[in-house]
Amino acid sequence: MSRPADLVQGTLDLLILKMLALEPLHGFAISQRLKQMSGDILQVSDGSLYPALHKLEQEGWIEAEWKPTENNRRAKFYSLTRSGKRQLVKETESWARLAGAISMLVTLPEV
Amino acid sequence: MTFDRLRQIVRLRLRSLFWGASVDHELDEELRYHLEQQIDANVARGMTPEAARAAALRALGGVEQRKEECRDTRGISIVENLLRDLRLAFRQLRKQPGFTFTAVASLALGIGANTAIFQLLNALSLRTLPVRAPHELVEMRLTGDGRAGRHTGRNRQISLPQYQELLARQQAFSSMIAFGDTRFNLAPKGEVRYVDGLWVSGNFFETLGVTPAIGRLIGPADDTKGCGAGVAVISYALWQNQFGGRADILGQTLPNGGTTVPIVGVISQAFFGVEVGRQIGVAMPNCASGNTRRDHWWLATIGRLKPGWTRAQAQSHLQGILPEVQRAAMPEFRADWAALYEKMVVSVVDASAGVSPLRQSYQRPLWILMAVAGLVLLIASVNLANLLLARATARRQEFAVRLAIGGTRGRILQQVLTESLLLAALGSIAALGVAFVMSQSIPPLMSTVVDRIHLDLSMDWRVFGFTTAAALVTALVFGLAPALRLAGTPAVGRERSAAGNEGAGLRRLLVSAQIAITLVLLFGGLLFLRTFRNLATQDIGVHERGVIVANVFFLETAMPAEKRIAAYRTLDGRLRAIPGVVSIAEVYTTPLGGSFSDTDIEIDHKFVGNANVNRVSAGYFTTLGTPIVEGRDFDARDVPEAGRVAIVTRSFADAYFKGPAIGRHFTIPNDIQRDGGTDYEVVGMTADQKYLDIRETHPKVMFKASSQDTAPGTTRRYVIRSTLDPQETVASISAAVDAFDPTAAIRYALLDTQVGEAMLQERMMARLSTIFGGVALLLAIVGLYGVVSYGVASRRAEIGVRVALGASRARILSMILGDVGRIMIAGVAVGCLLALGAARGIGSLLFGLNPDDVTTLAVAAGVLLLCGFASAAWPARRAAGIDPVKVLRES
Repeated sequence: MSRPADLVQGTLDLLILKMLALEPLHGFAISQRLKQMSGDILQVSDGSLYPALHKLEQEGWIEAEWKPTENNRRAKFYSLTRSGKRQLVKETESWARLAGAISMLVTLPEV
Repeated sequence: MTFDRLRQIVRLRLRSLFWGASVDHELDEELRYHLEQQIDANVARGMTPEAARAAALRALGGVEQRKEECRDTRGISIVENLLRDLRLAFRQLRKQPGFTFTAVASLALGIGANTAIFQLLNALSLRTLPVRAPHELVEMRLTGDGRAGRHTGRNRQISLPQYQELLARQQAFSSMIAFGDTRFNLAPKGEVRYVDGLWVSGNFFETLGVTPAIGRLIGPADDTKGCGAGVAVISYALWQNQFGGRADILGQTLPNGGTTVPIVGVISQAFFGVEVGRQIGVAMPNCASGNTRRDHWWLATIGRLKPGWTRAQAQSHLQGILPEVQRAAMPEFRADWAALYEKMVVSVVDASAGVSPLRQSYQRPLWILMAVAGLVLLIASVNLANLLLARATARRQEFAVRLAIGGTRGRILQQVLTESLLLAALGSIAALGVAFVMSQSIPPLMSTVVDRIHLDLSMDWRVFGFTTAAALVTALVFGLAPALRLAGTPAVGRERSAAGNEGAGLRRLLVSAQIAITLVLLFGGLLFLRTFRNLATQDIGVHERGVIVANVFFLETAMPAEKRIAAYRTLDGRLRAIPGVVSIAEVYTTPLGGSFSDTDIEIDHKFVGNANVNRVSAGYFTTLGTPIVEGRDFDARDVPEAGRVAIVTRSFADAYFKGPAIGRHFTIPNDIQRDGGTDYEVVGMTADQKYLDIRETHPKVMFKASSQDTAPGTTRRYVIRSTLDPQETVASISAAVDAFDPTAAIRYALLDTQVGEAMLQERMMARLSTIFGGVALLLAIVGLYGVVSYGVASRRAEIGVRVALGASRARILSMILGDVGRIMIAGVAVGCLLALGAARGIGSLLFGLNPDDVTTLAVAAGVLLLCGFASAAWPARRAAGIDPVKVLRES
């Protein structure tokens, strides 16, 4: 499965989980939100979003429900499950560890 | 993983497996929604609709690819893989119909034979009675000497007075039933028409929880002293077959010994009785049997254990009350017998599957046949393993490619095992058909003309479970070796698949093992065959061919005791005058006729031993063709007023007189109830005759003269030798008896049939084990042939080179046959050891030879070697005929 090269493995999952922790969203909304929030720094192609969503659903971290949107169309809304919330905490921690370690390494003074 | 999550995952997986279409549809809709929203957004930013659409599609990067990815993340489950493998396996098998047919047919035979034998064992031993809570039922048995007197029925344990005393004292059972098997004659007159019947205690049906189909069943009120002829209930089958299922059956009567008995109900269809192998037609209360004597042993008992009681507790409780019961119900025994009678021992055994003498005599043979059938299946699966191994070698290329392009070894293993499982499944479906036919054909082998064996051979969960288990185990046995071999295939590039003869060592080992097992089965089959032949050629002392046994039953009322002697003389005369009758005699029991009587013999007031007792008229020995070797036959001198005379067999004379017997005397003590005895003078000695068992070696028999019998009974048994067709003679006899007394009933038997039926079990074992041995031989030969011809085919190049270098045809032949010889010698050597070990287990079923009979073993090994070389000859000749030029061109 192809992944955007500029996204650290697993980061997309973390971002999706984080976003869904705020409110249930459908796929298009997630894609829009990702672009807005990261200020176009994170190039998440729409193509990789849906497989990621389906994978998270299979893992049981998010669940889906068909609901009418604000403009009265049917769309598939994803929301976080209980185990998804736990997974978010876990992934946030490990991300923080990873980010901390990397930033410590790259900011070592080069003497 | 939390439970909720697990549940969601399972739900989603199942959804994508079974509702793949609706999942796809949802995916479509979801992506379409995204596209439309994106297009709208793009248009809002000022793009043309076409450009907006193109941009949206570009961003998504191909709708179909995305859908495929989403499907991938949904996971291809193991089940989906399995379905895929199954389809592939089906295609593979369809492509090779020859292989598939061989495999399925040999599996069907192997598994089918096992299932058939298991069905019999299941029906005989495992299936519980169709009654309420069968696991609470236990049977009480008595062992030990002490039951002297009258014995009737197949399950005789106790007398009616004993049952009444037990009933009054026992605490272990919530209720306790007693029953005695019998036969009822349904024909009012003429030739008898028997159905199996049961005398039952009044609480019988109530205790077992059996319900009537119509009317009512026998209850406690029907089984009271002085109930006269009583009432009858009939089986559902009898109601349907004899009475056409008519509703007015309740008003009808059954004829019974000159009177009639009203039918009060029909038993529910599922209930066949309490004896496995028998189907009762009629049941009547014990009181109507008139069997009230204290020394008449005819009843069996089954109790329903009270809650909390175990079999062991019941047994010690019953043993505790037994002395009281025995004393209260004791016949008028002499002191020595009374002591034995009181010392009898109680055992309490499981009766959830009913009682069954059939089970006792056939359980062991059937387990042996089960083991034999299991070995046949093993040989069949080794054949399959060999075929699959050969195929595996041929398919290495295919699997190497699959590995190279990313297939995992696990997947390949799974696929190969799926093929084996599919074969096993097809084989076991066919096996159910084979089992159905086979198991139906076995009960007739256990039945005699009079005693039909009915076994309920319907398939139940046990049979299906057994077949499934057999198929699974078989699939693993024959599928695992080739599967592991294939899974070990190196990927393309790392090794060129070179030698075609790879795995040959394993295949040869397997064939050797087959030959070893086949030898065991052949040996066993031959042992049983020779046992049967030994029995069949045993001299029982009579020329049984052409002798008719006619039993004539008179009614007490039609033939009062004081008129009998004169009347019987008239009848004897009329029968003797029938055209074609060469000689005729009246007799008490016939050779191997199933009933006998035994007595103590005293000489000079000293007990010397036992003997069978028979009572015959003059002409008996002539009719049966037994020579009188010394002395004379009975004749006009032997009247009731004269001194008692006897004829004895040679073995009797040898054992008790150890010299000339004529003129010597012996005493038969009066029965165990009184002292004194009757003195007999020996007037003749005959060659030995066997009454009990063909296996007897020295039958000690004494014959009384029926002309000295002062009180003949109401039953008269004739042996008649006729030169005419038996059918014709039987018709003449019936006519003569009918003219003499129209109320008399008759039953016929042919003496040779009767003698043949004494060897039923041996005949069955001989037949089935020989058939199994033959099937094993066939399978082993096919296996050997396969391995040899495959070996020859894969060594064509090598043999071609050998021939080119000057090897002669004879040399090639001897090379191939030498190879075959090594495989077979190894198999036969191991087989001999196994066979001798295994045969020790069947020693008790053999006759006239020992289980380590070397001649038989040599014959079995010889047959096996001969067939083996014959099957190898064809591929060996092909090898010898290889043309090196052709082979070189091919390569």
